[in-house]
Amino acid sequence: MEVEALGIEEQIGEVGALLSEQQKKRGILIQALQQIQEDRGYLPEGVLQALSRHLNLSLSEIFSVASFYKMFRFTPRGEKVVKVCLGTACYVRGSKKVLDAIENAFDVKVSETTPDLALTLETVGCIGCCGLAPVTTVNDVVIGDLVGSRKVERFIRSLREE
Amino acid sequence: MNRLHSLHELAALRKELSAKEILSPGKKRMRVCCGTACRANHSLALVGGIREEAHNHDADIEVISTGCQGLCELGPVMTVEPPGYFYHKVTPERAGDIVARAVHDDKPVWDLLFRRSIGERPAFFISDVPFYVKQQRIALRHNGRIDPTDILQYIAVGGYKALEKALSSMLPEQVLNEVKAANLRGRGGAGFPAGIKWEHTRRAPGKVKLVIANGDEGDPGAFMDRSIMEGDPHSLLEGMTLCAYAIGAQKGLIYVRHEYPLAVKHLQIAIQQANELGLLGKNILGSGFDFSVQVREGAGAFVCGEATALVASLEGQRGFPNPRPPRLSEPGGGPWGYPANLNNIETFACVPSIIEKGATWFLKTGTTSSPGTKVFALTGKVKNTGLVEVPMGITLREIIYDIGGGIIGNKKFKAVQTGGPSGGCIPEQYLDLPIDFDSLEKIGSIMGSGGMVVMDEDTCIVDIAKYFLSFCQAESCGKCYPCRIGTYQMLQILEKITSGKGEEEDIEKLERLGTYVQNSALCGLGKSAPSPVLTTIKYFRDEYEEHIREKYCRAFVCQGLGQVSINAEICYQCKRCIDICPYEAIRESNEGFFYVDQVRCQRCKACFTVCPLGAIEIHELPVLYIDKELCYFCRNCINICRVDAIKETSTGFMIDLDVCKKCEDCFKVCPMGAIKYEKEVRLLKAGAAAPVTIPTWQEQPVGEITIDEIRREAEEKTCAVQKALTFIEEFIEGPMCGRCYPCSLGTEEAKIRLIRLSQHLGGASEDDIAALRRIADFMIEGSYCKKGRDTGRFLSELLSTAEEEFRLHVAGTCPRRECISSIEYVVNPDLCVACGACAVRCVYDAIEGRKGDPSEGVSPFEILRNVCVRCGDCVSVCPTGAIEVISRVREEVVPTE
Ligand SMILES: Cc1cc2nc3c(=O)[nH]c(=O)nc-3n(C[C@H](O)[C@H](O)[C@H](O)COP(=O)(O)O)c2cc1C
Ligand code: SF4
Ligand code: SF4
Ligand code: FES
Ligand code: FES
Repeated sequence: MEVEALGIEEQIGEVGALLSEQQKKRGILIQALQQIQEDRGYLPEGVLQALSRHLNLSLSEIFSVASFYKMFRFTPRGEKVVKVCLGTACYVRGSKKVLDAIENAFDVKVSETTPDLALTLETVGCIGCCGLAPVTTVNDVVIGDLVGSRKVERFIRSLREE
Repeated sequence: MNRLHSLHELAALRKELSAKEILSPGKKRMRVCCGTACRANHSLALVGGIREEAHNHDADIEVISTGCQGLCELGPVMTVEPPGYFYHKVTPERAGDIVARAVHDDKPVWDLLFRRSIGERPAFFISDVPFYVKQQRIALRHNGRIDPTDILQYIAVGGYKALEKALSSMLPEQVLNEVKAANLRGRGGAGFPAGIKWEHTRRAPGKVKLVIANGDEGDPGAFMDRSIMEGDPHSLLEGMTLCAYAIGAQKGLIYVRHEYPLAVKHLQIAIQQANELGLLGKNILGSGFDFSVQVREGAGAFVCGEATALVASLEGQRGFPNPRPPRLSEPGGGPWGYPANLNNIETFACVPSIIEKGATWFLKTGTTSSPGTKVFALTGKVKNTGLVEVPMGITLREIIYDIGGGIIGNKKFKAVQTGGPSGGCIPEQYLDLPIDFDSLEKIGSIMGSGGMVVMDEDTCIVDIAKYFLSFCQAESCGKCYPCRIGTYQMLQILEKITSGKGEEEDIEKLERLGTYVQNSALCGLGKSAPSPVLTTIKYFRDEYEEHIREKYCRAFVCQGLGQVSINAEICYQCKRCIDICPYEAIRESNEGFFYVDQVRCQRCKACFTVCPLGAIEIHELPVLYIDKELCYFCRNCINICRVDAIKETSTGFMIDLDVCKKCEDCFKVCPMGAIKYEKEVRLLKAGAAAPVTIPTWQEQPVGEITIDEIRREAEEKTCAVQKALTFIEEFIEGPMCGRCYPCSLGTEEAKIRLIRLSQHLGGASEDDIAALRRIADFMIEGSYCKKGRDTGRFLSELLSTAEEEFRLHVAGTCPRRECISSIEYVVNPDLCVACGACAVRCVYDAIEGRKGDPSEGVSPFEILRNVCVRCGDCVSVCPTGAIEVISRVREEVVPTE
């Protein structure tokens, strides 16, 4: 995705009619960052510099916003992104155990990526599938009901596979 | 879709739809839940399968992919009309059965119907499922009934009627007054009356106004807003439009949590369809009223659910909250300074019904101060979890026990947390409290967005408080000190308490800090963050005290409380604790006992819960110190300590208690006895035997027969085969628990093989000896406990020392003449009177002959050698003593008596 091609009017939508040029540019900042991340998997500095010129915002301001929100990353991610839900419902049904098991099996800590870029481990707050607690997502596919060491082991084995 | 230019055209469209039989009664129709949870369980494949099957059967079935139907745990769920059967846990493979049934005879697919237990009658309809019985749906009225991606279905079930009514016959003030009269209170947290908020915004100066829907649902455990956005987006749009009409706003924004991609997608489809039909956009339904709506996605910050932070985020700033005033409804308060009215998703979803049916209708439900219904997300340790919409004023007991089906495993209820991390813990004594906004606030909790997490006796209250606090602490945006530093400090104290280092004044410190934070934090996040801690202290103070004074966690959740050890007198080494221990802390000592290595043990207490005998005990943590008078600096303790807890100071050696793992290694090596306990260690909890029932184990007081006794008994025999057989038989009778295979299956097989050898039954061969050797090896290696392994060893020793003897048994001789194979029974023809008593008695049919009269002369009975098992029964029944026992080895008569 070319940052320069980002249409400001089109991104800001109808409320744009109420706003000044700079307000519009500022207003689409988070959206723009989301799109960059979707495209690249993370926020590369070079792209942010281009964005800074395009939106007429200083790079420090962009970093200040991007670093506030939890979804943005400044480093690349692994092929499989595993997110363990530590929301209440999952926590009380034992998602911590799932997390520990993955940490041990792949020798990664939370928000780390394995050196071979195979797996990134993250935690999330509730993802709204509490009925299936404890829940883990692998590349946004929800895997629920990971109760008991056997299920957890099978899950870890499936992570190792292609 | 053609744009509708007038109210008239909307009514006409609705009529047309009913003529087309969209959602009309009586038609064959299947509603398959395609909410996020059911999707995760492959409901999309199910929909595909049903469509395909319907096509194959050439059947006219309306298949609707709906939003969440509320019983996510039983998903994928679906209903089949006529007559409305409710199926649960439907896998895609069942599509064929379902369609075939529906096409042929409208009977249900029995095994997909929901049953509470196997013996009970199934629930045929969704309304029979206990989970639904007490529910009443206003906000979720269409959820799970229509396809959220098709505006026509919403219209067909009466959607946009409220807008039609408002535009045709109500002035904006009237709409506003209706909402005010209905006393609709905000469903997003504080329960502020929506009508009053609308009025503020309406009165604000300036022409430009905004309507914002808050879909940032960040409370862990809550998912009602998602379910509305995904399952019935038009309700939200209609509610927002009505609000805009009432307050004079032109633009609407929906701020959706980043984690809800499906909600964003469905909202966007809905907005586009509404635009096309002219239900949004310029000159809505020809009324001259303009209103446009757009979706904005959040980026993963809980605090952005707070109104002012949400505004900052919409503007593209860091999501910091701002002090109020100005409120959002005032100039300078909303995004870019425009006055804005912000409400929760569920609040908006209630509006259409209120306008359509009137405030008086709405007031009939719920309590006086909080009319209407509330959607709760019921989760935690209840049997049925999911979304429930209930009238305000219902009791917690009804929700948890009637709807939720009670606590999982019929454990004891402990507490319920309402309102997410900003709410409070409610203890058992309030189970019968009718809940609404005010009653919950009175007991220190809040309604919040409707999260409801149920906890049972296995949940540690301090741990839960710590968890909620750590959530808020991590989500604190860091703008104000009380929240950023205060919550961190509180968390540190809780951490201290749960790791067994709590001190007397900690509870008071928590209370003091909590109150400071509550009073001085800038936004709702900080203000409410201490609530879970404060309410749990209020209602469960004794548990906090137990953690601090006794260093004991009654739910066995808190790691680091108490010292775990194994009582060697009880332990019979089944190895279950070794298997479960995640830290490999249970080891076998040189003497063959199991013990807990305190340096490795993390005190998770997993072993405590699995031990079938209750051999695992939890003691108070010992406090060791070095008596300086006695110590002569030999350094033995320093050398043995694995965690370097013993420090050299200018005045001598000292144990650093924070580092010390209480393994007591130093105590054992000190030649001077200089290492001492500060006080005697109390036993806090001896394990109760875990609830496993093993019949043989319970019937016989096994502890009484030991392996040694069995060995002694076996040694009394002279024949090796008999020794082995006695040992194995006694072991099976006595100490074997049958839990591990090498032991349980192995000994049984060994017994059969040994009997075969000793009795020289058909087929006894070298194979039997090989098999015995294999069994012995397996048991030595694979048996769980020492008893099993000892049995294996005994067998193996015998096999190697007396191999020749075993061989001879294969050939049919017992050199020591102890086995029955070495004897034979024969009928002495001179004495036999042919009475036939022996033949009747023999259960093996080994005796042949014809009954006769002795006076006429008889042919004597005969014993078939190869069938006879030498049980000796015939000897006892023969009236003349004609059956004799001879030794096969020496061919001599053995005296029978
Ligand atoms: C930290 C924090 C998080 C909040 N999160 C949400 C939320 O996820 N959804 C929501 O509707 N309201 C949330 N609120 C409440 C909103 O600030 C606001 O009161 C509410 O959306 C108003 O809508 P209502 O009057 O319809 O309830 C949150 C408040 C705070 C302080
Ligand atoms: S308490 Fe847990 S970690 Fe400690 S020894 Fe027992 S099983 Fe292992
Ligand atoms: S005797 Fe055998 S089955 Fe019983 S606990 Fe020991 S190893 Fe397991
Ligand atoms: S708490 Fe994990 S999905 Fe809700
Ligand atoms: S997602 Fe299907 S019932 Fe909730």
